[in-house]
Amino acid sequence: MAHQISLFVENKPGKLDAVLASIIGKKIDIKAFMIASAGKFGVIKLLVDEPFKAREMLKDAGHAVALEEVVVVEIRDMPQGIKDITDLFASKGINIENAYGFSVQEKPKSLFIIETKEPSNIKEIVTAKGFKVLSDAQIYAL
Amino acid sequence: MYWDQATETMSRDQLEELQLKRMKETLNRAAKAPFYQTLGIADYVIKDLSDIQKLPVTTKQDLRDAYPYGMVCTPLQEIIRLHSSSGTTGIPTVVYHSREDIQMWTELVTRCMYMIGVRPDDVFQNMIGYGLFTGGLGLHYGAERLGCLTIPTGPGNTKRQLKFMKEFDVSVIHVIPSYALHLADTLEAAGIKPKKEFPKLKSAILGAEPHSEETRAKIEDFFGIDAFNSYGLSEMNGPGVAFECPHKQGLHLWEDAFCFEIVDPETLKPTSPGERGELIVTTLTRQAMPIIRYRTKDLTMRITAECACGRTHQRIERISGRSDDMMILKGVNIFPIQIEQILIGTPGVGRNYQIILESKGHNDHMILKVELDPSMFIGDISSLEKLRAKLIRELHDEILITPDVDLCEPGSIPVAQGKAVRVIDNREL
Repeated sequence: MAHQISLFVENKPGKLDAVLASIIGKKIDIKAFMIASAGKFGVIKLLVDEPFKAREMLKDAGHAVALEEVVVVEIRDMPQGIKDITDLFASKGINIENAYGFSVQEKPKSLFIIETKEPSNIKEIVTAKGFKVLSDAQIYAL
Repeated sequence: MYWDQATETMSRDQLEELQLKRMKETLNRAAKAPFYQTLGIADYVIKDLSDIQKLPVTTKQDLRDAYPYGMVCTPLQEIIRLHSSSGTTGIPTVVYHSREDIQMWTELVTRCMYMIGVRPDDVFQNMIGYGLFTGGLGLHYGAERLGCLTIPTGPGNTKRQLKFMKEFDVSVIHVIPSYALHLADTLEAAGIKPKKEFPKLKSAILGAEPHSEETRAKIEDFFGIDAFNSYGLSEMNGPGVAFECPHKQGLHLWEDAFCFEIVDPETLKPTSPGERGELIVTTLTRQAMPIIRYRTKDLTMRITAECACGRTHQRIERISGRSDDMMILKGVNIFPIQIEQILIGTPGVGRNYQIILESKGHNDHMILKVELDPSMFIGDISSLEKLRAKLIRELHDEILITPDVDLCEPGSIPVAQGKAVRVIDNREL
């Protein structure tokens, strides 16, 4: 499974810029980026090419950072694509804590990134349905 | 115009003679309390009032160290009540009263109320907290002794306060100044003219919170009444220590019951007249728990000039601040250490914090900024929200007010060197 970086930030002008300064320009490539906001603070979610290295860099810069496994599945780059996977989660009664997606340029596919707490065999459940679950390396090989 | 003319207008010589006599009695009584025994209080000889400066001071910490009964000098069966500070994490400060103590306290409060024109035909609404807090019960007893119809509403429930004020033709209220302003805002928003709504209302007693002359003027103008400043602290009974007379030029401190000094908080040397310093008070009549030279940490000034009201008891200026880091919010005394203890006991947050005090309308409001502990961050928002809710709940249990809690990035709060950095007070007093 792939790894996602979560980063705590205050919801204030300039905070995001300061956080990104600790990794951008230091040979870390960001593939996907999302902010989940909760009033006066938020959590930034990042998919990067070297998540473990990026985590250490952010930690050294003094940030509150966490690394977690996420389900990154390939979906069809068409209107029905996202529903293929949400149908599966709905039918199995698995809750999605957080999710986002993006299309891969010049390829007829998209990636959907899902955070879920349960169950531990989520990868098996998803692959059994014929979805491709990507690792960190595979995301960047696209 | 005097409740107790003989005492209130006693000549300075007589008053000082009485103080000296009562000071000696106080030392004799205090010598029976374990705490003062340890200090060897029986060995101190007082020949005149200036000898008081040789006596050791008593601090809030001493009261805590002596918890629960180390300051008590009478058998427990003679004690009929205790009052205590509200803190739940630390050791509370407890003050014990004998029947005689309660009577004396009541006498002092009655004297204050009579002084500002309260009479038996007045209807008195007491909007200050009852219970362990001394403000409610202190004035309650005084008002009943005077013979007022006394309405013990306690604080809060603004609609009911206003309803009672109107329907029972209330003439005197006891209220913390910020709440009086809140009542004014409520009335203004509803388009109610206070002079029409409460035609009998004539005075407000403002207690439990330091406030400015401007705040007093606002309250007086809005309600069309006289407002009087009341000073007290639980260690010295509560309300009834010092109170303004109708001339409103400082607060008469009842010197038959208390001996007061104004000292430099660093050196404890007396300040010269007209110079501000920390108020130190000794009980002169307390039976169950005499307190010698108590450091109030309140900053004020002695006014030695004679007052036009004819009372000989000297006055203090309205309290201008504190010599420690205590904050007063909505009438509640709060020390930063209480907040620190909650933070230390809460995994997920660091110990570095900042307290910002603001006026929200006329209400005090606290914002607590606290840093997230990076090692406890697991990446999801819901756990951060739970942490925030937990902090708010626990802080409310400890300090009785509900602060806003802002979770901040690690290292974003300046490391505090002292109270000035920890607490930022942006309130308009």
